[in-house]
Amino acid sequence: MSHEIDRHGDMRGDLRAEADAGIRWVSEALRWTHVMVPVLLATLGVVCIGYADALALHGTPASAPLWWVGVLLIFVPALTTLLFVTISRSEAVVVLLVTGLALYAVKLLYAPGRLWGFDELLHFRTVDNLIAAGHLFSYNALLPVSPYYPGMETVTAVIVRLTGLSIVQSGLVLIGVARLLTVIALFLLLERIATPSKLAAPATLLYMTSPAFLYFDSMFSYESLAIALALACLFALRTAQLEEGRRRDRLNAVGALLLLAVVVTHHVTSFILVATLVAWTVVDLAHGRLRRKKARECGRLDARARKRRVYLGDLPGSGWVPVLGVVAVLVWLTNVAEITVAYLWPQLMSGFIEVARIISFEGTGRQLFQSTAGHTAPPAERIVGIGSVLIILALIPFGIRYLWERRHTSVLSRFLAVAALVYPASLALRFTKSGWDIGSRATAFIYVPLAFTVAAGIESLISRDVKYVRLRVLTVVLALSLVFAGGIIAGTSPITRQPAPYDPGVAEVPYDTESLAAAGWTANTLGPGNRFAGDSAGGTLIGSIGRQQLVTSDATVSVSTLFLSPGFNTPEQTIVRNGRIAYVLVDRRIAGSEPLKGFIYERWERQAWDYGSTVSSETVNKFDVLRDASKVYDSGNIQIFGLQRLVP
Amino acid sequence: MSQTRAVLLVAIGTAVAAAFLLFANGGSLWLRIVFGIPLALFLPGHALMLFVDPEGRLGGPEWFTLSVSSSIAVTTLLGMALASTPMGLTANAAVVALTLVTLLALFAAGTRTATLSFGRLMPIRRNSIQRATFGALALAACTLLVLLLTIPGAVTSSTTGQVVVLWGLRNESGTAVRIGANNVSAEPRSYRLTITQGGRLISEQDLELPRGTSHVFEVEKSATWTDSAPVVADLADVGGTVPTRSVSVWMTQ
Repeated sequence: MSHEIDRHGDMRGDLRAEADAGIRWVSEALRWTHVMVPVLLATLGVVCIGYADALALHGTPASAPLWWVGVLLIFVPALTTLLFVTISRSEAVVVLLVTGLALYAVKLLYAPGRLWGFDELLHFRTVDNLIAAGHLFSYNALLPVSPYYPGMETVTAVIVRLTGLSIVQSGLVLIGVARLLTVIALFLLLERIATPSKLAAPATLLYMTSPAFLYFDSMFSYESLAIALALACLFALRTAQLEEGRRRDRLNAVGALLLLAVVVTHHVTSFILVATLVAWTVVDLAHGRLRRKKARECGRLDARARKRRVYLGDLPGSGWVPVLGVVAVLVWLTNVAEITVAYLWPQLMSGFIEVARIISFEGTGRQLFQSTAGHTAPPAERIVGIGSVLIILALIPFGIRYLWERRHTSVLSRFLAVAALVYPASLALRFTKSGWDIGSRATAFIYVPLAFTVAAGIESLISRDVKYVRLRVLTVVLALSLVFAGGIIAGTSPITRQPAPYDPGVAEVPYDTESLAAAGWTANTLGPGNRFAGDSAGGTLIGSIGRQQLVTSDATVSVSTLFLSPGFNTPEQTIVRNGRIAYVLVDRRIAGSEPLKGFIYERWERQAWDYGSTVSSETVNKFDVLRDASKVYDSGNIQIFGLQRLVP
Repeated sequence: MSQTRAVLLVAIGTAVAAAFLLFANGGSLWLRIVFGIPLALFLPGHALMLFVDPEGRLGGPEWFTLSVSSSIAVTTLLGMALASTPMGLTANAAVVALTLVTLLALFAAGTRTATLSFGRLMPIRRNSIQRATFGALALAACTLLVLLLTIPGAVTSSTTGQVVVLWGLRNESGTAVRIGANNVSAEPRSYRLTITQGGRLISEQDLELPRGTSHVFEVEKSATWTDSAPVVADLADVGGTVPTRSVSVWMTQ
């Protein structure tokens, strides 16, 4: 790393001091002996997870411990190397990249070559529409906001067009590249903020303990790519701030290019990125004013002190990139993606209203570690989950103190230390039913300052001169491994953490061969665009890979009633007529399946028809005995019925 | 490597990739991947970085990060621009647009202070052999990992059960019905397909269905068919382990 900054006696001098203080790496050399252990153990961890997943598909109980051994083999050696081995910068980069890729492999091993996340199927449909039409903004009934943020879908479509790979393969390659970018861009950004700069390596590793990192941010979803681009944007702008002249201008231009890409890729990430840039600008301005005031109070009224001022060019993006960001977000939001407000606002409001009700003792909130159907996590997982949160909360004050008091600490370090306090506040959302989703998704952003501050806290503790070095190493490794495991527990459910034979009461989407065959048949043989009704999981698959028009409940149509009522009489005929439902998808595995995810068809289905613990076989198979229904598809578990004759 | 050589090398790489993708219609998938992915995810940003950092002051990780991320940004914005034109987002349009932007950035980089001896394709300072070896191994490992894991069933398989499908669809005019049998993932077996209408046997035949194969039959409606009963098809496993599949298709609506 090299920084060429002239000293002008103003903020640039501060930047120079920041840059100088940050150069603490022992060397740039890459020695295999230093990275061999974490790399080989990470590889072994991936193999363990692949084996554990294969066992899980056959219902072997030993698969879960083996899976945990696998993920810890990826994380613990990397942690030990980054914290307790004197390594070079290149070695730190290699360890971080290997760890990031190995954790991405965990997601890929779940269902190799397939999309298995609910959000992935929603975005598949947007890419499919884009490729079929060649134009933007085709309607996607599964996620109407998705076509208005087509960044990830456009890159995927270009890769599909250029290489001939399928959408799924192109998407998995793109998100793999995004994972690499996320890791390295975060490292490079924190390296330019932290003092000592080597603090960036454990901070980046701690970011991987975020509940969203293992699965959610590995999904083929717009947030996964947008986070990578946003971090790269912040890195480019921070590098530009530490440069000057035309190099600074050119790097700012690269930052602006990345900012525009984020704006068209993901709504929340673009809002948070622009808010961060504005806050960063305000902090820099305030810091400049504060230093001038201090200089005056100390009586240093020499010419240099009076001239100590913040130049526009020294601000992030030289001042113009944050302005461009605000304008771009507003223009996109008001002229293209107006639907975003209607999409996000109800989710945000319901979460905050629920928090307010809990605070005022009017609501009971959500039971921690319990699914909506009442399935509770094992006691060991609950202990680890709570323990990890307590460890993080305990380390935050140490980190803030370290970052605040250290000499040559950059203003950005202090900014991140304060931003880490958002984490305790975000925990409140976990106690609400609707805020749980927001809280979980926000971790991808909250963990950037949090990981940095916790890493500083760890650094402050291990840099102290204590007697029992081995005990100290063991304690730190155990505590941070607990944080990592707690992140996984918070981000995944024990019943869906590993692949399993498909169960419509558990899985959000089916990824088994039989379901995929049905979706492929509707797309290729039946033809796209037919109006379909089905259960939540199978219907999503038919609506995305199957290219059908999924009918959902509205004021005049209750899909839950159509499927859950015992017979097929006038009310059901009215639903079919009003919903113009041409086909129904029936998954016979629903009979006898306990809805551990809380529902089979829709979240409010029990208000329409309370079916007890499981849906009966007679109810599930009711279309099979309807004389006028055409059974057009039968693969054993999955049947498709045409209803055209039932409702003339 | 001098700036000029780096610019020339990237220009040649871009031109070769573009030529292959434009003119080798239906070429090998592997070659399309080798040329297509760098053109979308690396070369435009790399050309931009040759313009942004001609002195090569930034290190290897910085170059990688900014090259790849700005390539994705360029591909995103260019792709969206193409999709907004009447022509739409076609393969040839994407290749031409990405190539033009890359060459434009290279032109800008090439015309900047050519007397400086600085730039490089990938910054390699010390331990160049180690770095090159590591880079090659890492690239090979990443490629192998991603390709293996993106091929369905390459490592673990989500296949459950024996999937045999029977389907039936009437044509739009209601004058014929198509019956199809697919063996998606079951062991190869002999099946008996029976088609009846109103209790009358229309067709009965034995099928050999190896894994991954399908048979489709079209049955024309005859005068003997009644409108008060559907066409029923049953697919029975002669070996007896796969349950019978059955479809029933009404010819009138």
